[in-house]
Amino acid sequence: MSTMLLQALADGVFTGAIIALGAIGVSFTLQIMRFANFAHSEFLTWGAYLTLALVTVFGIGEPLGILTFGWGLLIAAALAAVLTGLAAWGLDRLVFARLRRSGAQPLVLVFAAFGAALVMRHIVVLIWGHDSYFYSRELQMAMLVPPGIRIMPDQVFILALAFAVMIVLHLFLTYSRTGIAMRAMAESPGLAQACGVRVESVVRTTWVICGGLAALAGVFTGLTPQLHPEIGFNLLLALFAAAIFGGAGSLPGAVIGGLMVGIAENLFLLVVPPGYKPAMPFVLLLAVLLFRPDGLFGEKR
Amino acid sequence: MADRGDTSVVLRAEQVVAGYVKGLPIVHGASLHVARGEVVTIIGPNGAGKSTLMKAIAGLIGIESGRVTLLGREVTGQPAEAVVAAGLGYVPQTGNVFTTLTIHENLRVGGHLLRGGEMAARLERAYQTFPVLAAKRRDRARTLSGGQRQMLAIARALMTDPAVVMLDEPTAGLAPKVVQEVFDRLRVLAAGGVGVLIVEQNAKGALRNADRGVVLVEGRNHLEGAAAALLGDPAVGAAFLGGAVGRRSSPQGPAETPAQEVQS
Amino acid sequence: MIGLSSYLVFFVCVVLALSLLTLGLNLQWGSTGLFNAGVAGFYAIGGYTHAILTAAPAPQYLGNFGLPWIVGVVGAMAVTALAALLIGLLTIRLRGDFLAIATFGIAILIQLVTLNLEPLTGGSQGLTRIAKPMSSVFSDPLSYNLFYLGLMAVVVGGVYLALERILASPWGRVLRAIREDETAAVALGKSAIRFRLEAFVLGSTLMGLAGAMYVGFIGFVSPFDFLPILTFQVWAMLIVGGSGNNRGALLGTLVVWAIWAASGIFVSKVVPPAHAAQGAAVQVILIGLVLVLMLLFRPRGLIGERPMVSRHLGR
Repeated sequence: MSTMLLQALADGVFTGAIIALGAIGVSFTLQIMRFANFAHSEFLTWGAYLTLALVTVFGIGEPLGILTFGWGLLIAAALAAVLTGLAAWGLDRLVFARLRRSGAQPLVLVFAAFGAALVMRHIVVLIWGHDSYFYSRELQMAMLVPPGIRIMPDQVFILALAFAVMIVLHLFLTYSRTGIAMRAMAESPGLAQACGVRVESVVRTTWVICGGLAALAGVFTGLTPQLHPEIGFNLLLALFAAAIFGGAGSLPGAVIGGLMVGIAENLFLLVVPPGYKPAMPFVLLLAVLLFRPDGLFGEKR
Repeated sequence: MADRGDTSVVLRAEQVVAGYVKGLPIVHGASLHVARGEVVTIIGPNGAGKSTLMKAIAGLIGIESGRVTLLGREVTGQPAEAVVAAGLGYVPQTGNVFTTLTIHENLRVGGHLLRGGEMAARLERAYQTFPVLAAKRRDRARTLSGGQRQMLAIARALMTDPAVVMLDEPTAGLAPKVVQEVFDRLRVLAAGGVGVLIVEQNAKGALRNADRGVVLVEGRNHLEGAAAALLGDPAVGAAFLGGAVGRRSSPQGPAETPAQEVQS
Repeated sequence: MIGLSSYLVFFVCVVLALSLLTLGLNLQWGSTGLFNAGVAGFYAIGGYTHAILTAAPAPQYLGNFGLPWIVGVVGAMAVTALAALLIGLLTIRLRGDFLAIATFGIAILIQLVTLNLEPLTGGSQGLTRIAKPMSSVFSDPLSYNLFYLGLMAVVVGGVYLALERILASPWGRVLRAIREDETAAVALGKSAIRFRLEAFVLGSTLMGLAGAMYVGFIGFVSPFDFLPILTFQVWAMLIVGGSGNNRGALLGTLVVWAIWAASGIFVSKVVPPAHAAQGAAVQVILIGLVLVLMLLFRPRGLIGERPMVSRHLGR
């Protein structure tokens, strides 16, 4: 029994790291752009499928060691992250920025985000259909780690890469001029402006970073183990649960939130029939909204 | 309107009409100017539009008509980030520091527009001018006392070496001893050649520490003149007690510089 | 010609059922500013309750009581009202977009239950042999459908009139005031929450009614009639027609469903069956675009009374 528990924990950490990557974007959009971006989940899907497209053309490269993929996938993922980041910014310019300029309430933005998400998701369906895809045809053997947990090498690599990305982001936000400006804007756009921070600039950087992170999360989801058009949508509630739990605008919060949601989901699976698995993030989300809407590290707006 | 060849004027606002909602202005054609090294204070009853005028000059709210020039350059209607880049420093009344950032980070944001080399030098200068901040530089701004926050806010605004600094109620909520410290700092600042414009609810204290005063009532200029003169002028007190809008016929009183003509 | 007229009758019946959804949503959003992103959930509760109450009994199902149609309808409304009350109590205090997330999640939860609770809901197969009222009187499909059309029209017309009355009443005026002025709402304090809750429950009850009417017409129920996309379609209907306006709700329902149906027909004619799913994607993209474009360029909708976008600039 305890092995099952440990396995659930391990699986939870792996999924949690991916959720954390996606949740960071939701968290910052919530705090800096001040609305719940329901299209964020589709940045994951687009990131995954853009990578698929690139990999279909250029190949995934020779598998690195016991991983199922090679440099081809990593480079494709990086490229896809940039492209998705730009697409996210493009979406803002086309839709959200326009609505903000005409004075729309945040709810209208949420609404427009729903609509945009629909369009984005079904563009993927239009091109690739509903079938599942795999990045790699390589089979992978699970490693057996004492006391009896099964771990895929791909999972370990993804976990390491995800944390590396988070650390880089943290350094960026703490030490770079743009990063500090982003955090300043997250707290008070008016005061940041009075310091000479250009709002449009920060907005652009925010979208590109959030979109890029989401794309990476999408690729990692697609790796473990497959892609289909709903991979982003299926994580939507988990992303929001993690972001709100950790507190909007907080990087450590989103990371902890993501891990918590991932672990909770997998523990939940031990006691509940698999058909109800998608309900877990929602239950957690509801609990957070009701009891601690400011989250762990969030600042009251 | 020509600058009257007065090259020491660093900030000029002419007939500014502005408000938070377009079509509903709070400021109805107010004018003022600040010269290099001068401390000018805007006073007036509640709701007179003092803070609104300042925000309009800073570019944080829209200007419906009128003109604002900074160092002779027109900045009317430009967004705050551009006005700051043109040489303005602004310290709002509330929310004037980033509470979630450390003191050091606050100053860094203040120096957002600086080139790399300048940032280090300006930070050093800020810490030398305000030793209290140096000691706590790694602490979050929310741990500061009211007076310390004000210091940080001012230091932050000075990072860009602005030609004009505007402060909205810099002494609000501060202990009397600290109030005078703040005013002293502002005088030192002006002595260094910076133009200082403050909005103050504490009219007496402000006028005692300023060179000139501008009285705003219901969004319009009401009185103007040397601070010492305004202190002794009964019309000033009357304006605060909800007196009549428009010109009063009482004399401005003796002053070294003649009082400005006021247009309603 | 028979084919076309019976299709049209079917089409209008569906539009009438959906218009009850839009009218309910209009009460929640248009009059009170509540963002209910779980429309499909309340629709499902109504539909399934009606089915469980009226379907012919079968050994593998817990429900299926075989009760008369009217019991199903009333029961559906009652159960939906209760569910809305519980959900409302939990969520009514949440900030706008958080309310949206919460109701969205609830709808997904409801969908999961309909898929998984097989003994009650029939799982992915759904439930069949639901009683059709007066089916003994109108034996051939076309005349039966015409009868049901008439029935729906009466129901929708009645609901519309009732809503207009309600909105003109003192209760309705308070709702309007709450929507117009947030600060007034805050000043009203607890009472504002009660009004909002009442509007929420009433609107959701209408959605439950819609579910019952729809399921009663179709004769069976399955989880795939209540997918999240339906919520977006209803929102699109409200936005296109013009929120805050009951006539707008009706018009929007007709226009959006017509676009949906027409694009569906077009796609099925043009796209080969192997790619049917991708063809369906075109329909969804179309609806999504309609939603976003309306918000950008005509926020007040076709005949809406006020723009959904604030008139004021800045702040």
